[in-house]
Amino acid sequence: MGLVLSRLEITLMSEDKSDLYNFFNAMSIAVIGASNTRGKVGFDVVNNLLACNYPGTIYPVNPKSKEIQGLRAYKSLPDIGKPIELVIIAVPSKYVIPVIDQMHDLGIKNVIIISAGFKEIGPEGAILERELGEKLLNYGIRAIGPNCLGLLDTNLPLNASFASKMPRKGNLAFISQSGALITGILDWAENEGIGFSSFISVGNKLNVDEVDLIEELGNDPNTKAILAYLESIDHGKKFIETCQRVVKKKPILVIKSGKSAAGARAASSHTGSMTGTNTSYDTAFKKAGVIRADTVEELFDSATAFSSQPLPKGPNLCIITNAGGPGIIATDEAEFQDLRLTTLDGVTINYLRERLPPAASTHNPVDILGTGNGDEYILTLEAVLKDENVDMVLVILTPQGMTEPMKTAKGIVKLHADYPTKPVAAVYMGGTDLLESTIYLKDNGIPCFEFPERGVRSLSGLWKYVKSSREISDKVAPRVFDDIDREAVEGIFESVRNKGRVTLLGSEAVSVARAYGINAPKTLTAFSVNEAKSLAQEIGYPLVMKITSPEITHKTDIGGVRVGIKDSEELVSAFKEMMTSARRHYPKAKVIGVDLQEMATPGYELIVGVSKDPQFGHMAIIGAGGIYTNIMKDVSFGLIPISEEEAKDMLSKTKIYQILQGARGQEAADISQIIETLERISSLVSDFPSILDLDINPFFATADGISAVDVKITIAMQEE
Amino acid sequence: MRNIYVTSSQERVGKSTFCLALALRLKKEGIKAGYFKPVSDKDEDTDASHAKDLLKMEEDLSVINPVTISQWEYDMENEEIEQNLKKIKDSFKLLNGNYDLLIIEDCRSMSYLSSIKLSSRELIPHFDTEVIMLTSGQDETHLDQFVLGESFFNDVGIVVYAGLLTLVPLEIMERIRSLAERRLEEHDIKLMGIIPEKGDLTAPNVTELCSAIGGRVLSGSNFMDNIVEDYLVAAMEMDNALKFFRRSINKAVIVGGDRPALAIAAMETDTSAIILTGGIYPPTTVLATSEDRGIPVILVQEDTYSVVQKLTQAPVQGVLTVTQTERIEEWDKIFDSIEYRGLIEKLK
Repeated sequence: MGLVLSRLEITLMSEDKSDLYNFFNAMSIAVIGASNTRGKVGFDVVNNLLACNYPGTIYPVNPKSKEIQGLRAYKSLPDIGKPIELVIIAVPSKYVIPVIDQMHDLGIKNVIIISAGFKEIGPEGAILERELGEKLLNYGIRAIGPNCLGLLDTNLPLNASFASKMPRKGNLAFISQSGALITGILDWAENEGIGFSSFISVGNKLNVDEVDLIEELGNDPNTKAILAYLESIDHGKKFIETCQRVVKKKPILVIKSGKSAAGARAASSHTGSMTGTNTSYDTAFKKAGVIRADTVEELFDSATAFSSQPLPKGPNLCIITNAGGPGIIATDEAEFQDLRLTTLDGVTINYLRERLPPAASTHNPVDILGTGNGDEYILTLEAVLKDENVDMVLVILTPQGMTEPMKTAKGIVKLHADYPTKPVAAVYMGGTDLLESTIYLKDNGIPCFEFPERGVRSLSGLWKYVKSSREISDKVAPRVFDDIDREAVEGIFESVRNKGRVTLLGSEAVSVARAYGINAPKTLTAFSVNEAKSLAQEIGYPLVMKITSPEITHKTDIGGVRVGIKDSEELVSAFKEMMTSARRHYPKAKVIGVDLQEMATPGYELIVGVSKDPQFGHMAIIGAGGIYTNIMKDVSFGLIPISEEEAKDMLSKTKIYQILQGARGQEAADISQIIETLERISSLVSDFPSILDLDINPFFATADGISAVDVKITIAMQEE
Repeated sequence: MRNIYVTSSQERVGKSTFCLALALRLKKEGIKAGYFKPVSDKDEDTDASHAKDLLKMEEDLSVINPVTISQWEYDMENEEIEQNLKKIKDSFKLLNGNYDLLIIEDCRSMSYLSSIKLSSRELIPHFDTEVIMLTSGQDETHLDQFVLGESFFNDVGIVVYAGLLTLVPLEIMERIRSLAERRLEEHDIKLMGIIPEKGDLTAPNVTELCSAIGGRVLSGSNFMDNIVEDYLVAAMEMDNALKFFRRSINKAVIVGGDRPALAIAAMETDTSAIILTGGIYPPTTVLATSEDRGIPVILVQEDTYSVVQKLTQAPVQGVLTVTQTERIEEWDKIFDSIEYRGLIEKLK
């Protein structure tokens, strides 16, 4: 038997204790606001600590009582006079900061602030919370909450919350931004037989947030998978970095609410912060290696598989069923979930053919027919588990005349023990007839579901994790370019800011692109007709003229772009027409002049760009460009920094990728140049994080290379 | 010469602020400057009271600003015109001896009250002064105003000391400067300087904006000094909101109270204030975030359209008051590039 170390032992072996250690391991706890009155949070907290068999010492603090629930009570924190490792605060918000001051005086470093009445109640609460946050930071005290349910740990055990139920001991950790969701899940999980290592309600996430906890739980030997319900992520970059580290050890499954537009608005109003677009979360989770669940049910279906099953080596699924219909439903779902319905080895097929009735299907999905009994299930399962082509198995059982649910269940449990490297899940479709056998399966570590789709999704979660953790481990560093001119960009940004602007003129934006080795046609800005005539000589005819105004964004729509101007006569008349048109459409816009630009060779029209997501940082976009970009929506996203592999992956996800490779006899574009442009943009925004938006549309791609025809850049007033 | 008369070719080019900033700069040079506004056009004119506070003037406000004539009084009898002129002359006499230099500010623009013979052209001869003429430098065409103004005064023997371009967009500052120097020289008009269009000089702060639109501060009351340089109406789809908001800095975002998500998006960007319209109170979380970000939220009863109308018809301007220490410092810096020392020479 292998050596299993507890968190305590691991911590003793390592030099540094994590600063969150005491939240899960404290052997002395003071409860501020402890009470003898039922219905008060301070009553529940003490009551729960007592009820959970907490092995440490509890110090109730209440200035008005001598005894609380049979324990000696203290007037104040200093009054206790003994070492305290964790404080739980359940008093009104205005009394919280004085307790924190006392903790500082006594050198106590961990606190769970259950008290509400902070940011969630409005501006006064926000001011109080800011003050509290500053104190915690200055004192070096780590705090969970405020406005949270508390924390539960089944290993110590510890119920430092006002949730009355203690979950079954298990290996799933659950972090939640909603306290109420925890109480709901605690109740539900008891019925489902799901066990947990810990539950943490993060509340307002003032000091300890999901990132800190993911890091901590990543090192927790009692936790096999980390689950989280999140409404917002405040430190997106840190979230991604931490998850990338942790998923190499264990899976992280997240349910992020606010997926629809209306849901996002609700989440935004609920948290008071921008909660980000669905796209940004999908992109960030992919980069982080996090598995996103769409529903709470899906989250737990996957989690139960992680809890008891090994990780599959590949996506090859075999389905065993005694009914055709459920087998087909499971097959459909497997396809949707990117699992492969494997082709069984010839040896397996022949073995089954010899032992199952002639009408049985011995190909995947294997249908042992409604007559299938326990023995037939067992021999089939053993055969496919032995098959090299099979990475995981789903056993579907419907109650029919000859069905032996319990015998089959016992067989599944035994075979899983005999072949422990391949994950197995069961679908027992039925109700009361299958209740006993279903409980047997669950109690013996086989995930079991009522319907086929859930069974498939639980197994697909395992494969998704294997795939994403491999991607994270194989990640190559982004390319470093040595032909860039950083000073040139610094100079341009400085001059733009000195003029009180944050949007770059076309000529400035083109110069930025060129400084980072992105090919763009020469562009100059003219402030008057005369100047335009003289700059046109420098560029050479024919040329392109565009109106220059920070306030006119869709130039084409108002006749603000003229292509193929042949000579100075046409230039002058185009200049005047453009100004007239601008005055008509935007009477109050500040028109600075015109941009004159070399003619570019037209090619495939793409859009390439970057937008800074408030949570996760710069997000790159690539796809079909031109004026219909917003309608076609053929784009794909990736978070900066972007490696060559990631750039390729992004481009290959667009529909236009196939066209770029040369469709219907057209010449293929130079794909490598397009990919390199994404990498160069990644390098640019990594060097200049103050770039908020960068759009190149159109971005021409031809067989000979690329050309950034129209570049738009918005920067922040302050350099980061 | 012990006085200088400051006028402009049009309204809202920053005369009052310039007058007070000039007085403060002269004070730093040891010259005691006073302020005089012979005529104002409304009772609620605060220029005189700001000047009295800033320059610590002892005279009564009725001396610093003796006459008010609004557009509703253009039918006044000649006798009353004479009485007003006398009041102005009497006040001038009281002020004239008390200061090394008296800065006299015109009301509205140089032509105001011409038809009742109380405009700058009629008043200046009583004051022993030359004229500084301000005009907006928003674009090249405003240079024409100098030429027109110069002849407006020259015709009656009034000497124009210099012209001053204000509100010049930073983008075109150098171009306007070289054009102005070249063109004005051809007309023998001296260019005293150029004042750029910069928020910290003339833009209002949130307090001034809030009082102009009659709003109620819901949160962020510690951040009312934020400068407002731009206004944006938030009526876009959420998908485009950030891109839109990012293109503007130091802005007040005007948004319906029923669209809190847009207000939250605006607070992610460089925003000075949120104006919630329609009298709809936002979720408390929005107010909490505004405290966190230092962005006041102001509630108004009117709808978005009415608020925009109000702000377009009567743009809010930042004024110099005793409390505006940062704005005063910014103006002081501007005077490094303004040729005002000629005025001191003339005093000798």
